[in-house]
Amino acid sequence: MLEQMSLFDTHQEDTDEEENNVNEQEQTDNDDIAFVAKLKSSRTLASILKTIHFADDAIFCALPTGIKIIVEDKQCVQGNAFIDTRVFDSYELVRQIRFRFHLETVLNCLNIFGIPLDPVTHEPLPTNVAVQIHYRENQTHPLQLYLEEEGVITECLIKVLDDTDTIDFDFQTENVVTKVVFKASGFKEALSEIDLKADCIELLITQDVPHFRLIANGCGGSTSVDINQDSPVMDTFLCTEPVNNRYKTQFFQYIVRALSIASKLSLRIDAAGILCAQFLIYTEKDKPSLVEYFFGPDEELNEHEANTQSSDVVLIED
Amino acid sequence: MTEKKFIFVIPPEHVRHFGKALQVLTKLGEEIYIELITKTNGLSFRTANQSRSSYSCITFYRDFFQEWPQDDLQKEKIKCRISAKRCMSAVHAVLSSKLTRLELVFDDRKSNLSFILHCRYNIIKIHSCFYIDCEKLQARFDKQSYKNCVSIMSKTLQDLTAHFPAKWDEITIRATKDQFIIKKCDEIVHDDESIVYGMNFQVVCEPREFISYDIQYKSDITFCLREFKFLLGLADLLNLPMTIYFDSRGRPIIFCFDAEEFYFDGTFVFATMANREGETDISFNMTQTSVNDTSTMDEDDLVSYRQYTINTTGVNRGGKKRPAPSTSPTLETQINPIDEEFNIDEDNISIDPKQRISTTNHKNTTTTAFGDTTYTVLSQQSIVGLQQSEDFMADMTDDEDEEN
Repeated sequence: MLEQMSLFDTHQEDTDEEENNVNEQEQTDNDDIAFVAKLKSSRTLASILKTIHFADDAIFCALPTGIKIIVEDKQCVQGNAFIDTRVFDSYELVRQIRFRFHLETVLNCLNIFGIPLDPVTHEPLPTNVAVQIHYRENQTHPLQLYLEEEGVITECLIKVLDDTDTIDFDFQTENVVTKVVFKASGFKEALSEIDLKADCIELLITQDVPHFRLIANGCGGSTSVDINQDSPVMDTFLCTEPVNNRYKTQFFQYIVRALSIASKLSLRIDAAGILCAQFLIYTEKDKPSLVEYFFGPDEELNEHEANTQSSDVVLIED
Repeated sequence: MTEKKFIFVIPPEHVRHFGKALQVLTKLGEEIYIELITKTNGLSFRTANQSRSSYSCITFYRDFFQEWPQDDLQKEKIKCRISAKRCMSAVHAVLSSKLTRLELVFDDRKSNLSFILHCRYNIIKIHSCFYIDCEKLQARFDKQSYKNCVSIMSKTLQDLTAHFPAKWDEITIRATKDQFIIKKCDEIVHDDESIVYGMNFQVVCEPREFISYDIQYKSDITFCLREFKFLLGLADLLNLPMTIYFDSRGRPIIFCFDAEEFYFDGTFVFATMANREGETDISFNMTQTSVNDTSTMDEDDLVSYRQYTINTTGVNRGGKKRPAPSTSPTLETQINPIDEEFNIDEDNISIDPKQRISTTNHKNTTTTAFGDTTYTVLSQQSIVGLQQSEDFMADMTDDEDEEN
C-alpha cells in the first residue's frame, strides 16, 4: 500500500511528503503540514465516528496522545471519541490542531468505497480500505483524506470550519457517586426490549436490591430492566449513595448505538447528576479506543413525578 | 379498589405457549379482556376485532401456572382490559428471551398489570401497562347447534392453507360428505353489482385427512383469511387437534382447541359472509330452531331489510335495500350489562328496526341461543351486531328510520 501511495504522490502538483522518510521533510511545502495519520482500515475510524454522529458538526483535535473528536448536541449532550496514536499505523503531529468540520461529509468520504454488510447479521464487514489524513496548518487549506482500495485512490478535500468552544461538563471525577461497569453484549441484551420512544429514562442505582434499574416511562405503561450486582453482565459495581435520576431518552439511543461495537461500558454519575458513559472499543490493534458521552440530568422531568401516571386511562364506570 | 395484588407465575416450560397464545390475541384485536373465572379456575384472555366480526378466547387453567393467587377469590376478581399494543411489546420480550420465570402481577391499587420476566444473567425485565376495569367480553354462540363438525390437526390445516396468499381477503370452505374443499371466494361483488371472477385455486381434502368428520349439511361458507392465518400461528408451536363447527352461510364458524397436556384451551369465532343477493337458504331456515331460539322472522322481515357496512375506520351506514332475503344470524358479541350500564362500541351498530330481536337474559350466561338478526355483506367484510337490550333498541329505531 505504501508503494502505491508514493506512486500517487509523485503525480501530485504540490507533493505531499512520504512522512516516514525524515530527509524529505526539509521541503518548503511541508512547513504547512501539521498532521498526518495513516490507518490500514478506514472501518475503524468510520465505525467510531458513527457512534458519535448525532449532530452535524464535530470538532477535530489532534493531540500528542491521539486524536479526539467532540460532538455536541444543543448544549445538553457531548460525545467524545479518543483514538490513541498506537491505533494508527503512522501518526505524525507537528503542531496541535483543532478545527470544526462537517461530520457527515467525512463519514461519507470514509465510506466512499461502500459498506459491505454481512448478509446474516447485517453488521458492517471489515474492509481493506486504507485511509490517510493530512492537514495543513492554516485553515484555508482543506482537510485531506486519501482512501485507497486495491489500487484505486480517492482524494477527498473537505473544507474546515471555524473552531467553536465546547462545553466543559466539569464532570467531577473525584466526586463520583456511583460507578457501574457492564459487559457491552450483555447490557445490550438487557436493553433490547426497552421502549426507546418513551418520554424519559430513569436510572435507579442503589446499594440494595435492585442494584441497577433502568425504567422507560411511556404512555400507557412502562418498561424496566433490573440488573443485580451478582449478574455476570456486571463487572464492577460501586455505589456510595443511592441515585435516582431521569435522563432524556435520546441519550440512551446513543448508548445502544455505541454498544454494538464496544466490549465494555462504564457508567459513572457524579454528585451533580451528570452521567458519563464510556465505551471501550477494541479494533485490530491491542490498544482500545474510547468513546464517551456526557449527559446532564433532566431537571424538568425530575419534578413531575405525576407524569408517570398515564392520563389516557378512561374510567367507564362511575 | 382493593389493595390486593394477584400474582400468577408461569413455569419456564409454559412460557412460550403463553407468549405465542397472547401474540395471536394481540393480532386479532385492539384490546384484550382479561377475566379470572373462579368457577372453572381459569384465567381467560379474550379479544374481538374492531368490526366485531371475530371473537377469540384463550383460557389458561390452574395447572398451567406454577403459582396462583391464594385466598378467597370469590370476593375480589379480575375483570379488566388492556391495550393490545402494550401487550404486544411485552409478549415480544417474552418470546425473544430465554426466561427462567414469568410472573403476571395485577396490582389493583395502581391498576397496573406487570409482566415480570426473569431472564438469564440475573436480569429482570418488567413490562407494565395500565388496565381498565370493565365488563367481560362475551360472545353468544352455541356449539351444539351446529350441524357440521370436523376435527383436524392444526399443523395439517396450516400446511393446507399455507399457500393462500395473505392478500386475499377471504377464504371459502365447501364441505360435503365426501369432500372438503378450501378455496378462494368465487365472486367478488362490487358496489355496482357486477360480478367478477378472479383466478382461483383450491385444496381438496378427503375425510381421511381429518381426525373426525361429521358433515350433515352441505356447506359453502366464506370468512376472513387474514385472521384465520393469525389463528393458525399457534400451530407452529402446538400441533393440536382443532375442532371446527360450521354450517350455513352467515352463521359464524367456530374453531376450538383443547391443549389438555398444557392446560389451556381456545375458542375462535369468525363471522362468515351471509348469502349473496338472490339466494335463499330455505332449507336452513326450516330447520333452524333450537331450544332457546325465541325469535321468528316475518314475511315482512324477509322481504326488506337493511344492509350496513362497517369498515374498520368507523361506521358507514349504507342504506341500500335489497329484496332478497337472507336469514343468517351472525355473531353477536356482547359486553354483559350489569346494573343497566353497558359499553357500546361506537363502531358497531345496528339492527334492522323491522326485525324482532330476541333478548334472552344474558347475564352471566356462557352459551345461549342466537337472535335472528340479519346482516348482509355489502363489501367483503362480514358484519357482526352488538346485542342490545330492547329498551335501547327502541331509541335507536327512530334514528335509523331517518337514515333511509
